Amino acid sequence: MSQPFRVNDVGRCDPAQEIPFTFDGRAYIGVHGDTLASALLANGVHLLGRSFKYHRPRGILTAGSEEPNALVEIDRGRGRISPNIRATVQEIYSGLNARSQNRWPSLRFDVGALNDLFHRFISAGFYYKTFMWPRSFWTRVYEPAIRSAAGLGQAPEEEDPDRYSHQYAHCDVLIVGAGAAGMAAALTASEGDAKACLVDEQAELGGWLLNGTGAFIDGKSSSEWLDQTLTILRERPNVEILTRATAIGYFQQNMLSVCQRLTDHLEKVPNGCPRERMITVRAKKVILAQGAIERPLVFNGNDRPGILLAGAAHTYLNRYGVMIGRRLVAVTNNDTAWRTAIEHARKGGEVVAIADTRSDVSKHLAAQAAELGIRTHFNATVLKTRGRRRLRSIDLGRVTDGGVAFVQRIYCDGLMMSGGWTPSVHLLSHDKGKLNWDDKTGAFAPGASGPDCFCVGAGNGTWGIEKALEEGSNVGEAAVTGLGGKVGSQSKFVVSQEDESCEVVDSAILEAGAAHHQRAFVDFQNDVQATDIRQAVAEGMNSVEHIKRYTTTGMATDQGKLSNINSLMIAADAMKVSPRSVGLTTFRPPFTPVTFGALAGFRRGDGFEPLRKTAIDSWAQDNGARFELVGQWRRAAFFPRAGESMQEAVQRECSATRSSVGIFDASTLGKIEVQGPDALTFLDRCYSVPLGKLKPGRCRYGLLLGEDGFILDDGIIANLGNNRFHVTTTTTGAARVLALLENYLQTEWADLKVWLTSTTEQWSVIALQGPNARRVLQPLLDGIDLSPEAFPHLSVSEGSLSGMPVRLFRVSFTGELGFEVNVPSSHALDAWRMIWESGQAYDICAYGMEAMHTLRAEKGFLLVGQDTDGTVTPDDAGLSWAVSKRKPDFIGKRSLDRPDIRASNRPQLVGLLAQDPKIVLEEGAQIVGDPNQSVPMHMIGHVTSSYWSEACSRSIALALVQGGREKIGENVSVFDENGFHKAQVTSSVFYDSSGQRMMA
Amino acid sequence: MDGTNDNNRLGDRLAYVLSAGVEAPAIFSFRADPRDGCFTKSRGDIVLPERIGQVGEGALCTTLMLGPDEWLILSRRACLEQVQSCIVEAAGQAAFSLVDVSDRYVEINIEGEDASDIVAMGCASDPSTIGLPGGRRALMHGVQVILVRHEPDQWAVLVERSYASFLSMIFEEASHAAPCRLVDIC
Repeated sequence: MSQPFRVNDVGRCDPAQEIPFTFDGRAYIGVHGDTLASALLANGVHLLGRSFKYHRPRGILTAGSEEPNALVEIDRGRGRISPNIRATVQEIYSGLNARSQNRWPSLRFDVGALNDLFHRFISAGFYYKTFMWPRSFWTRVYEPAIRSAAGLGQAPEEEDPDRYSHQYAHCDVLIVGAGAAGMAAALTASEGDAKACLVDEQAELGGWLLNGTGAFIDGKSSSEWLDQTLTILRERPNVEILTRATAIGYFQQNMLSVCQRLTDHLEKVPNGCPRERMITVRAKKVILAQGAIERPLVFNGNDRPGILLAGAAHTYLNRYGVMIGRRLVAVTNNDTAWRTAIEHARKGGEVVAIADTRSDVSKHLAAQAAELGIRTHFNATVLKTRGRRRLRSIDLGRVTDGGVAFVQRIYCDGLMMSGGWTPSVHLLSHDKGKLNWDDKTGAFAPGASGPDCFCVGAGNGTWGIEKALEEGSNVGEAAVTGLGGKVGSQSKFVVSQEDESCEVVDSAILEAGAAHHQRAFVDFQNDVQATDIRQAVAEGMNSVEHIKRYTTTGMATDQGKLSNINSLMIAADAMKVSPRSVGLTTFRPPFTPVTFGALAGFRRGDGFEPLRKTAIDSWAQDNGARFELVGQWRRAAFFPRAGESMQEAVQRECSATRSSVGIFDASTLGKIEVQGPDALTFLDRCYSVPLGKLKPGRCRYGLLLGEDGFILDDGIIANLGNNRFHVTTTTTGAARVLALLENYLQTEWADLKVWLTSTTEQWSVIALQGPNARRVLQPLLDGIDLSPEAFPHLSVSEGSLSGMPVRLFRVSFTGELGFEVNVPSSHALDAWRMIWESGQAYDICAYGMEAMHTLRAEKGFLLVGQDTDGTVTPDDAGLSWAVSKRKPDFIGKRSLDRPDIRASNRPQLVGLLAQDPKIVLEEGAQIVGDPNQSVPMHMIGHVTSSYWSEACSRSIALALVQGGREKIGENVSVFDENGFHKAQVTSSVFYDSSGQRMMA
Repeated sequence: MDGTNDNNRLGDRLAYVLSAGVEAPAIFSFRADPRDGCFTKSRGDIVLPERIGQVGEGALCTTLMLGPDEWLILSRRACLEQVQSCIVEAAGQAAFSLVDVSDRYVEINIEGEDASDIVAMGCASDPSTIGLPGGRRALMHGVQVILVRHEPDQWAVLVERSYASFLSMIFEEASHAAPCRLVDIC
């Protein structure tokens, strides 16, 4: 198949390597080096999609990542359908399958185009005024209709099968953009030892130099200079070059996110290779050399397929060897489009006219145009364009005082427009760099930036290759010397080409003649017209941020790269102020759209967040445990037998523990080893319980309070002897408590000789609870006597368990005779199996979190975080006994004397027994005294824990109730979704209130 | 994870090995006031480095300085008691803390041409600033680890045991991304 618009022997593509691809099901041929856009243009295809709101036919406008129109869907097979891919960025490969978007039933005939007929009724902000009545339509009609119409492209529904990667990188100098300025900066910065990283979003480095500028650098053609420079850079070991890599965000302290496309250009993806990777770069110095973005002109019908930016047409011709039409016209307000038109004419294109809004141009350009037979029109602009799905003709107008007068109609199929160039300042703005308005170029250019950030080249408002090279080299040197490094002799570049002027004329002329009924687009992707901007100003939007939100200009995926300056100039004109005073809206990352996959990287599926497993987890898994998450820990919730419900399993596990013996994996408990001669002093200052007399071999339950006197955590403090202490914390409090204690140690009591070491992962904990616990454990121990006399409640001992080191605690969180067997984690599974084996004679039963909760609640044992909420004091929790009255100080002591802490009506932890014993009250349910009181009712507390207790043969609950202990014996009402339930306030201990079982 | 090895090879560019259980080293967390000079005097068996991130190689063990008063001592399990008595002897009357944390960590060794890339995929620290040998405490894919670099392309990642299966899974995933530079230039 021929490519009728391909120009022989022009550009960097290889015509010998033909590449087949399809667009909307139709087969085409491109060549190696093409983007989808250039390949379609080579085939004469301009219509690529429909606009967002009006469904107007749209074609290719640009040649880069700023493209607002040519968004397509790329189908790479099952689960690999990507919407909104810019055809100007997508490289073609054999078999590429692209489809147009936002049209039905077809691109050529789109029913949605009816919207365009009613465009006067759906201008900016119409939805604020339209969808108001009737009110019932808000959610039933308007919202569903708007939602179904909104958005471009279809989000894929299948799981993305591709891999995505993430990488951190560090360098001395990061150069963003590999055009002339960026290359010169990299060349100079890497002359010494400095580690330089050069990133560019395109597949090839070179930027505008890839367009065969006609310039000669140091006597070489720009292409030769580019090849030579690339060879030098690639040979330097201190240079890292990343292509297809877009710097999408510039964050504090020179951290940039760079998203690199790895496989989207490949026909066959190497097995397992990631599609994209996100690189987080920390650079000591950053050089932004991102170039400039050409602005469209704003005239009636400026969005028709066949109308491209002049710079894009230049790129398609000189880089890809593609002519954008047969009969071409250029319309401009600066010199660059002249060069494009002249280039086209020289390479065989029929350029019928150049229209310039200015009154004259340099003699040099005028002479070249005349020589090539191009008619030139000054003080001229486009009044109107024609053509249904492709440009057919333009009406040329002469700018006069106060208007534009029709001059002539010109038939053409390609229009190259240029409204000037805007320095790409997005990344600088991310880093809060200042911008200055430049009247000459009609754009904001970089102003002051931080000492570690430099802007160079067109991105700095520096026009011309020679100046860009010089500035790049100077800044490359400044960056390295700023780091204390050295570079060699500074490169001096001699360029033989006249610099182009980017000076533009007054903004008002850009949209001259764009009357109310005319369709002069500012934001192509969001279908925002010049009239919308003026309407917004007329309706009182006097801030550029308001205008942006009212009209949605600059809010599309191109982030206003083409539209921002035109919008603000029109707004400035409407407000009768200077563009400088209007200012710019805020640029935010990402610079270009990013896939969710690239953002997620490795964090998907099981890798979404860290999951912690105990050393005994595999046994639980093998024995049918159902798991639940506690913080990041995966913990066994219960162990159902065949056919058992959760409730049945939990009841069985509780009964087995109360009647014989239960075994529980408590390894997740936080553990801190406290060592040093002042360890006991330190702990005594931290915990509220008196610890001064804690003897070696003994443990004590302790509360850790905040400075405010509220319970932060609880645990066991065990004296191992020789100034060594083993302190436990709650599972979720482990890291927090260690950090808190370390903080006190380093800031308040730095004089103490104490050191803290986390041993949470060193020791696995097997809790053995129940009347037969001693009988199960004793045979396995070497040298530890478990008799009540030798090893009473709250004892600790170190020894061995069948040859394994063990720290054995006699503690109970169930109210039964209990031991917590601490073994080094690598032995945990063996120890568990031995105890399990030994327990078979007593029908040992593994229990999970649910049974543990029930067993401790039956005893009224506090669960920090469930029965406390950060505002519960020891007295509120009924734990006054755990607060020393004699210690001179401990964390939170002074706050316990505050009047509100001592108030009698504070919420206190008490028991609740529902009048109907079968009703298990809802955790979190609110409690009222009188259910018949008027609404809003006075709440007196809430249920904190609630379970079915097999031991009590009824439901039980713990609750925080105002003045709860005074109310014991009284009835309250607990409200849930089924209404009020009567309940009696009781003691918080429901089982074995004397504690005999635990002391056995 | 216990006592098992898991290998993954991508040609000659990368290998990573998980080792745990009885094959894992003996590890101590040693804390002492560096002003008590008795600890930082060079000894044949134990060499305590004086700069954070430095590694000291003694006859008995390797020592990594993690903080101003914190060292990690890595030795063979068979030398566990020897290390303890050596420290006690060195201390004399000085106060210190020596805690066996051998079972706290699982060691993941990453070796091969792409080893540093694998490390850089999850760790924001600049690997080039870690000496040879050297190490530091770091975050790796959101998990706190201790990174030890033995050779330019040989790393040991000490990760808390409960995170080991998560981290090894991420490394497995990351190993596919390691050669992506090859793709970049094709």
